[in-house]
Amino acid sequence: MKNIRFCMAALREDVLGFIFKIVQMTISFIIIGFIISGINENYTLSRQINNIMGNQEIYVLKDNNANSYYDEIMSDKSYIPKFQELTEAALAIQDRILVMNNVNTVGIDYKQLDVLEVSDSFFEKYEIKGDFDELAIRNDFTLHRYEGDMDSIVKPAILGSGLKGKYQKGDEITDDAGNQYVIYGFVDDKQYYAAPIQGKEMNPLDDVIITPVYIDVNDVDSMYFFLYGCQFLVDDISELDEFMSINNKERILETYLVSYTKQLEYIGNEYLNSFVLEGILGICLFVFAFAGMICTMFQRIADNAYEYAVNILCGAKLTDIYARIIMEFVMIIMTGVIVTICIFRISLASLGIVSLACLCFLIMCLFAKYKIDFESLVENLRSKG
Amino acid sequence: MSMIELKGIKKDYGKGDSIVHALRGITLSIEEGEAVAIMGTSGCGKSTLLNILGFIDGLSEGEYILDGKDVSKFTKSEMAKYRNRVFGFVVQDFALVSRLRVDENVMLPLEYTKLTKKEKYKMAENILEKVGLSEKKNTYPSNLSGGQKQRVAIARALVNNASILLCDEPTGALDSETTKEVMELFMKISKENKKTLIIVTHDIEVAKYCDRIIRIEDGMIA
Repeated sequence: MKNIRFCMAALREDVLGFIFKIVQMTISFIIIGFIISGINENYTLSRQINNIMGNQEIYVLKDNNANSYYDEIMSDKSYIPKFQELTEAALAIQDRILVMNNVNTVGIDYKQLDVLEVSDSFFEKYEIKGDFDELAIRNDFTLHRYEGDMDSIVKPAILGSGLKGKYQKGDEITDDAGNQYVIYGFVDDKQYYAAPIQGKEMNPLDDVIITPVYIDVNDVDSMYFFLYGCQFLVDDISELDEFMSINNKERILETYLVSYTKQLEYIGNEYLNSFVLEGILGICLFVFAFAGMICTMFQRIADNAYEYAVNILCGAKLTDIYARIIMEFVMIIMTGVIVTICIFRISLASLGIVSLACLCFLIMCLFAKYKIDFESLVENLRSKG
Repeated sequence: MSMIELKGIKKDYGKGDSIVHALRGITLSIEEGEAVAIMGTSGCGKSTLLNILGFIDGLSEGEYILDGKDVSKFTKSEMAKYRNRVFGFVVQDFALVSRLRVDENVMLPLEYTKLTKKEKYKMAENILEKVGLSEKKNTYPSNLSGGQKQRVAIARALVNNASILLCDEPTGALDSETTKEVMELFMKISKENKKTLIIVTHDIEVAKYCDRIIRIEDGMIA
């Protein structure tokens, strides 16, 4: 307590300098936190996708269609058989992982939820953990074809972790579009899935309804979104030749295939570009802030050496003196750490910042120990007798 | 048993060819309540001896027995405790912290105890009253005269009820009138409270106040 009091008294003499150092250190921690967070996100995303792919490759269709074309095919009934043929060709491809992410957002009890239409292999491939029966998933999360009215269909649904307390297994719920669901279970907290075609971030499964894929084979819109939601897991791109040749022959979609490997590369490069800029800024800020702290420490030691010596005369231990000097820097660092933890919560970024802060603390202690020793302090008091 | 017993104390600074023998074998005893003056020319080792006595400096060789305890066995923490509870230091330039008020300066040794804030203030007030400075308790050292500053230093040395007062040229920065005042205060406190007083001085007039004068020449007792 006494050391904190002494430290506070010293800080009162240079409040502006103290605030400046806090701001500088906190901003640098936040930037470094964002970089760690981005690197971790990129790594997690790549790892999840690479785990799924193994030696295979995932291809997805990338939309090249203009809005006018979309409007045209939606209104033209002659496209229905063409889409049916293409859909059947897509379904014939051996191993699909279907994720139709965020196509639909529905409201249930005034809460907005993303509808994620998946195949039964989704949970296994993406290693999604939760409170649900795997056998029921295998049986009921298969692809469903239907024609016309969906009002009578009650879809099986796995709800996101954020809805756990609100509903029970077996409950039936209806969204604001009139779709009915029966709850099969819930995913655990902190479950994510990667869909690098849609974005570079991991998608959380907190506020989602996960349902099987339902294709209305008389509705172009339904088939259109099914096709763009397909992730084709294949050994070789040639497995998609037939599908693409039907599409090209019938001139159905203005589309092309994109591999997840290429997509991960693209995302990685995007991250790298932003990391270079953010990294330079963050590291510069951090280095300046830390160097500033070291310089201030030296200055403080030089300015207060006599006072420290007087304290030693009065019974202070050398560790008390170290504590007084380091306390100020602990306050600066701790403010940055607390702000960072508030932003990043318990995460790798927070852990990284805490480790960095500990390293700073250790270096500060070593500097203090190197700069202050008993002999040189009490030298200030000696008369040459 | 003596309060302080030194046997063959030697103190060297430096190494090899540049070695300086500051003390060359000091043996002396000081009794409890005794007032001792240590005199000698500049550089003879008298301040070094005082620093060794007060655990500010270590000794190179010899034996230092304090109140029956072998000092060589003390840890740094124990030494700090002794500087806080047993020794009271008064030095030539007063060793006051300029940014602290008089009462805060006096309370400095109490900061290293477990007393409450209220108790600390009470003790500081009492001791300031004894040295006649209670009215100056909220003043900063820069607003005090030399004699007043030294009285603050004496108050600080005594506030934790130290039993040994170690004074290094305590009147070196004072005029003769103030020197007389300060020395009378020292002797009063020493005799009334049975405090051991060790004063390093080159001023024979100051030394005359003490019970005994020890002269040091070239690192040895003359």
